Amino acid sequence: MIWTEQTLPAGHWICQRFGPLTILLLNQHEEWRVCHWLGDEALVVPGTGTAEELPDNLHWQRWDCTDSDETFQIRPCFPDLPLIAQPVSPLWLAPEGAAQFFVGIPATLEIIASFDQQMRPLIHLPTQALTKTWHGDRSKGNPCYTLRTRARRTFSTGVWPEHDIICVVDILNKGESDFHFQKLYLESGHLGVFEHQNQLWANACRIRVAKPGFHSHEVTFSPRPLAPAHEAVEVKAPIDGHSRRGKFHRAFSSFIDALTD
Amino acid sequence: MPENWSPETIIKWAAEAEYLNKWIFALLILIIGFPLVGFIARRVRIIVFKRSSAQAAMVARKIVSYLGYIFVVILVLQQFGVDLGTLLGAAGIGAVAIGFAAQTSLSNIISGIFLIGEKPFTIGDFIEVDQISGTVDTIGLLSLTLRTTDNRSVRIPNETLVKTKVTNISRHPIRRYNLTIGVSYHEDIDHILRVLREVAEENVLCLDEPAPFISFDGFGDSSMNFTLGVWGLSQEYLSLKNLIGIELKRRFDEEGIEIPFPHMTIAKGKASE
Repeated sequence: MIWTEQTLPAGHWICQRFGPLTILLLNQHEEWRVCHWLGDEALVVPGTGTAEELPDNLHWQRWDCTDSDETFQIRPCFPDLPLIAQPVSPLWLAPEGAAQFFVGIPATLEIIASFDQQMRPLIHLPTQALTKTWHGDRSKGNPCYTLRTRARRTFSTGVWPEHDIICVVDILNKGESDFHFQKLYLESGHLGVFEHQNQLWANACRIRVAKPGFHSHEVTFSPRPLAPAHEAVEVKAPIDGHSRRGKFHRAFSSFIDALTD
Repeated sequence: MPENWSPETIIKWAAEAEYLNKWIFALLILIIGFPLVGFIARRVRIIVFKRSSAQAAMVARKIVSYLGYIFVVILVLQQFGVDLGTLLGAAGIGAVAIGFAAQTSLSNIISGIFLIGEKPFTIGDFIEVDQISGTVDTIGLLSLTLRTTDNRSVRIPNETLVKTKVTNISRHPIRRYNLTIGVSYHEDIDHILRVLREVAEENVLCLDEPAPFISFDGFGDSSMNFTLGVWGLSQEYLSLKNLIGIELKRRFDEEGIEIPFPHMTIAKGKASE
């Protein structure tokens, strides 16, 4: 996958596939045009070509630009809603017990392109259709996406597709009783996207399950992914910025507010 | 100033000057009082809006305005020596007369105050009153205005809102859509239940939690009846309602599941034959 800036001269197009998502990007008539498919019904074309080779019946989304604009970039980012992940099987964590989970999050792709020499976002496209769920009670809460692939205890290559962002979550039970871990509520504001050996990673997240009397669990973020991706290169910075130690309890109290039992 | 300083002239001049002063003072009260009342009313509206709802703010503003304007007028009348006791007495008698004549309006005002306290809905909510549904556009002292889905504006008196059932459709962020469906008696119940569950799971607008609700409702005249209840976001309710029905029919067709129409078998002749 190429996540860096690329050049597309006027009159040319580029077609790229990210799992079930196919993106066709065309630079023509001082316009950026995007056509996309999710599933098997995508247009079958080679990787790049000229505008004359494309059929006329494509449904384009169009953005005005200048004739000198040729630069674009496709960047992976997190979906627009928080996420709910479930472990392969529910787990009981004893007091002072710890567990590590690998969560695969289907990336959303952000296409940015130059407009009068300035890079601006065109569109966000999910690489996989995610179903929605509800976090909270029936009168108060917020919508989330459900992750179909479950959180795993170990990492092995080939389990997650290339367009999934793997986030390592460490859970430490600082409570005085067993903690029943059934599902994980993830907000992605402080998670960045990194690339390591053609696999996308997020910086790691550590959760300390609260002692009795505390309102929320304590969540911290490492600046980079953990091993085996500790040498990964950052592709997209976190939307809400990197976390800073000492402020996390206040800043991230809403990040993970429920490890429900 | 009088040129002749006789006592009569001075008294007359003083009287005229006092009368002029009263006019000037009354005019000042009006010039300063009305804008001041408007300013105070607007401030009250902002404060109440921050602490309560839009309709409470609007009503508070109107009450402050009306009371303020009455107060300004009384101050002006006082400048001209109008006897307030007589005025209030006459106003009391007038109020009784108006009260008899305007019972409905007063009832609406009082109902409006109850509604503000109870807050069954706010501006922007989608409600159903007396089989009319729409978005609450404005809430006044006497009535509220609903904007229906076909863009009609319906005025509903506050008294009606207190007396009849009001359903607030958009208060909660998620809603369940119940689809009742009948299938032929030839069909396998387990197969039907599996298809209903899969249709709910595959729909992107259907929430995984709360989980879809599937029930077998019983044996009808022409069909076995099932209910599929799926949860979705309130703002996506209409889309969910459309999609789930279309997808269910398409899936039933693919699976060869028959949705029977009501029918009756009529036999000719005696039952014993």
